[in-house]
Amino acid sequence: VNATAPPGGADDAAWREVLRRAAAALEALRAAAGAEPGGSAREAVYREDKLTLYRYRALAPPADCAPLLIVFALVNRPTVLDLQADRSLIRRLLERGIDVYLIDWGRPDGADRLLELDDYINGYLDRCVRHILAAQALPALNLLGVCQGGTFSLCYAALHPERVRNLITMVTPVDFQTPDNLLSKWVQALDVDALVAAWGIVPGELLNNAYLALMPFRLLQQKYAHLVGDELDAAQAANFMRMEKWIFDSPGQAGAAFAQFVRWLYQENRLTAGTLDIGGRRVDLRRIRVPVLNIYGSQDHIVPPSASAPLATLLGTRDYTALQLDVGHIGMYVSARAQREVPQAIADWLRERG
Amino acid sequence: MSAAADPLLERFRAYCDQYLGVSRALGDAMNRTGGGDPTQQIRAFLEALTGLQQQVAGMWTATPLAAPLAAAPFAATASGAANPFAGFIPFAAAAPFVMPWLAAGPLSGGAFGAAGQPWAALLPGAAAAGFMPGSAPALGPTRELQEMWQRTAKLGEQLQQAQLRLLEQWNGIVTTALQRLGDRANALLEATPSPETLRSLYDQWIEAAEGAYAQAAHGPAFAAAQAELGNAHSQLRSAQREYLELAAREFDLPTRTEFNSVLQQLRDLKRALHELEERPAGRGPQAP
Repeated sequence: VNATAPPGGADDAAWREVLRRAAAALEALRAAAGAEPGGSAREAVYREDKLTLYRYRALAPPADCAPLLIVFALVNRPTVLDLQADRSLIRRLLERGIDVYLIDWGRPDGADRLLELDDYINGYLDRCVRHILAAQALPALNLLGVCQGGTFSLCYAALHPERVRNLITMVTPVDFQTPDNLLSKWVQALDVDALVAAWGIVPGELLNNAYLALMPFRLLQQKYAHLVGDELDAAQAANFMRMEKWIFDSPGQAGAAFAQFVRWLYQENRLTAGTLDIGGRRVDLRRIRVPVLNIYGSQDHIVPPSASAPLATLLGTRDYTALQLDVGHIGMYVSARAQREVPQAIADWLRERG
Repeated sequence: MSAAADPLLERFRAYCDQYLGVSRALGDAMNRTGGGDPTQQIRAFLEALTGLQQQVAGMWTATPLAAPLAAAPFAATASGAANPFAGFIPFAAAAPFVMPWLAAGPLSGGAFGAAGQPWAALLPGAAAAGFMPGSAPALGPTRELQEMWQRTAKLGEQLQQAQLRLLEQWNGIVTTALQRLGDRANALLEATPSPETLRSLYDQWIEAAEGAYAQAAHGPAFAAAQAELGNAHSQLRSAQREYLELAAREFDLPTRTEFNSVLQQLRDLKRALHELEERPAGRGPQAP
């Protein structure tokens, strides 16, 4: 390919201008290469294997509610929740007086290949919850589960309802077999046992490729091509680089847990069917009688709203609130609209319920 | 023990004689041109061979020596005199089809190459008669290796087929996308070129491509092709790892299978430890 030649029909002047803008965009991105995600002050309060439990430093007088434990997905790093000062769900919550804890699952390696969903939910997550409850002498805390972490949080709240005061789920799949769920369609005939036998730890790159394949032309071409016309300033270039680093920073997946998640949830849809067992105990969502706030995006191509909304009919609680925003999956974490609306909605909802 | 007086050895010798005799018969059949039906002769050979294998399997399982014999039938050891199979070794060494095992480990070129097959010399003739060498029945001491090789080769073929089927899907997607772009882009192509019109043209392409892609990707054929490719890739990787584990064992290096076994033990221990930690103080361990 001759990159300096104009495409058919374009005159030289227009094409030269495109190339000039491309060079400027690349220069801005090169200068922003050092931009890293993260930033809010925090301290590690509990560690186990690869897992670290963080508590964030308060930025405002405490709100009158229990501490909030954020449970992120295994498939990406939780840094997207605190990407930078002006794109940080965590910082916005801290500014509203919420006492925020976060589980960082770490990066599984070959030694973790046998970890099961039971280990994550009844093991790691439960020990984090109990650590916080013991430290603060509380009977229950507030739980915010994000994406796959939301599914984990639902399971946890159903299995250990006495330790959850309020439950918030964000872009969380519940019904894994709705017609617009492309990921679900693709994995129905996947031999997940063979996949896990072949890899042990399922590479994050493999999952990332699957996500990119949901909209390959937009995510692998247009996203970069549009940089040419955007006249990036330094801040925009840094934003882009932080997101880029987060998107492709994908930990591998413990094989056994991955296989269970795909088979039990995507292929057999057990959470909705009421047939999911974790650690030998039935996950009955009707046991969740605490208040639930369910937040999802109408443009989400990874967890379509049709996958999240059915939660309303599966719970035992009478205090259920749904909040649908006109954003996509990633936009729920970092878009300006989500930054304005989501933290405030969470803080207001929690203050009303303690 | 006297090798000559050992009835087991006599039966083993008889087996080898018959085996080699049938192999020679097969070679004759393969090399004969213009006479007889090679397919029938191959079938007859396989039937005879199956009968022999059953006889030998019965012979080996009828003796207390069955397990170690099956594990290392021709292994020469430093303590050869004490080895209960010492009597077999001279005879086995004389049999051409076990030489690769004695000359080198299972990963040697001999074992993996054509020379590792007991009837390697027959294969050219068999191929000339229309027989596919890659599908040769797995026989003799290198039987398991040959099966592994054949399975891997077959999985490689399956992966290629799966790639082709997904490629067919992509060909359809790109064709549809280009048709749609052609329908939409006429006005843009007639406008005065500028960075903005170029970008609009590009965006039209993305819209057309994503639309065509979504239509196909949600369909059952695309999902089936994706899954087929993923499954074929997984199976091929596992088969390839079998080779690597074989090599690791040959050099007494740890294998993934062994590591997994240790990890499982550690995991069980850790679970038991957590259960003990969570048990109320003063409550002793429960009886199993």
